[in-house]
Amino acid sequence: MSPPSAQEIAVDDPTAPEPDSPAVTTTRTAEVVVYVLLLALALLLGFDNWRSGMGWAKDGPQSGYLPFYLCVILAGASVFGLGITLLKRKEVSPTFVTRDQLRRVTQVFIPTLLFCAAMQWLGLYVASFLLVAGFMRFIGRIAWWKSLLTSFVFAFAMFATFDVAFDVIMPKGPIEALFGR
Amino acid sequence: MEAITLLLHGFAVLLTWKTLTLMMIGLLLGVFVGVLPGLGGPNGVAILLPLTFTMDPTSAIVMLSCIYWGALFGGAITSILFNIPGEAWSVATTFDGYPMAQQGKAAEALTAAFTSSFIGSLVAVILITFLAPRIAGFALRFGPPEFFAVYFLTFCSFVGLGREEKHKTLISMALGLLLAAIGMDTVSGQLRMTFGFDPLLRGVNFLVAVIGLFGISEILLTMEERLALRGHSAKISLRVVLKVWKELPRYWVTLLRSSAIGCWLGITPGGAIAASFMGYNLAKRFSKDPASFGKGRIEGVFAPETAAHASGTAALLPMLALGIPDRAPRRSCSAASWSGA
Repeated sequence: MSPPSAQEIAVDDPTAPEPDSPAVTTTRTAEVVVYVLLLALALLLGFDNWRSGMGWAKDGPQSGYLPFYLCVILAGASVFGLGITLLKRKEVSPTFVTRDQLRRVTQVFIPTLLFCAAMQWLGLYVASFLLVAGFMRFIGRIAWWKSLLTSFVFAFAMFATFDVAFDVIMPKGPIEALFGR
Repeated sequence: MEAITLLLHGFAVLLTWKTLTLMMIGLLLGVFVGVLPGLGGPNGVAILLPLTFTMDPTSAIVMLSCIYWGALFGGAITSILFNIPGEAWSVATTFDGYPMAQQGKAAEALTAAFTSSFIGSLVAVILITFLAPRIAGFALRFGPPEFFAVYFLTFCSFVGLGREEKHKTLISMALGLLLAAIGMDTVSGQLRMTFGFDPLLRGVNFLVAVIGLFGISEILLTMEERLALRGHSAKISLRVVLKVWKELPRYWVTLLRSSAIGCWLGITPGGAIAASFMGYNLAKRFSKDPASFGKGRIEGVFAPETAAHASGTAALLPMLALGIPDRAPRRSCSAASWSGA
């Protein structure tokens, strides 16, 4: 890439997935897996609704009536989808995700899970400070001071909005307790 | 006349410093989420929804609609400067907006975009103001059978008019309705689908579903792509704005046509995306010089932007008057993210 002229703005993505990365799986495989999972879900929920009553009692529909038929629709549509996906020719299925893409999605997904777990004992504000700083530094490759400053300003602005201005109760941890909030 | 009295009353409620400040904050946040590719209006509203938790209903609606409007416009900024539509309905804006930016006329294109969004929204708001009370009065006489019929029609139109494969739409709707059915049955009081897990007693919180299915899935999808940007910088001065406004009356046919298309497609479940393309295509069709479209013609920004905003605003009519959500909330109760919608 040539350096941008004065009229141009350029933002780079240093950890972007390469376009020629090898495919991990095809859309066909992904769809088959999802249809099977949906079918299993429909069977499980359908069974539970059948158990709690899917008929019509004297006083109206029983509690499982509507959800049971929703499960029937869900199961039917999943079987239909599974059928047409399996009947499609195998060679024409496009790539669902490449190895690089999967790596990047995992890089975001795992920290997000950790963020949810950390929120329980660190509190929302400290956890989001760590999350934003981590993303900026390790995925965006942005300088340390910029990452730390931005995430601090972000976390502090959230704290000021939710806790101070609007009195919304969010999970808080030991650091907020130090300041007596 | 009653509509005008009500409108004036509405302005009286809104014209307080607190509400005006909330509007500014909402618009800023909205433009911000609109500019970020992948995070558009509906997602922005979903993510920023917690901000309105403790507000009174008026402030909450003001804030949310400003976020929505800001995001509608934010999509146009990236379309013009970066050739990246921030939203699907700004795709048609890139056709002429980006060439204008390349020719150094980015400021004109941006002015055209925000002016036409104002005109489109204004036309739709006027329509809502005079039409909504009548429709709402009609809806007040609705009983359960009528509501069932209206929702049934809505769901059928999702399946029939959606661009996704039909069985996927069906799966998404069944999943959404099943999620909503978890917990205590409102008729019999019996528990269903909780599997003895107490927190499910009150069902799945709508917010949790919205943020999980909408927000997080959009972020993960965005991460699959290269996020590098290259675009043009622009400075808007009052002189440019006035220059564009002076030319505005020349395009009144285009503006009117696009507003009408937008209003119509907004009320029916066509949506802003269809409206913006239709606005653009019709402007091109009726133009004396169709070949100049796509090469940086200001009309090519006016037409899709007016239509998209008229439609985005008019879509509020069925929601406010009848309680039928448009595409955006519907997607939130569906697992459409994996069907690539």
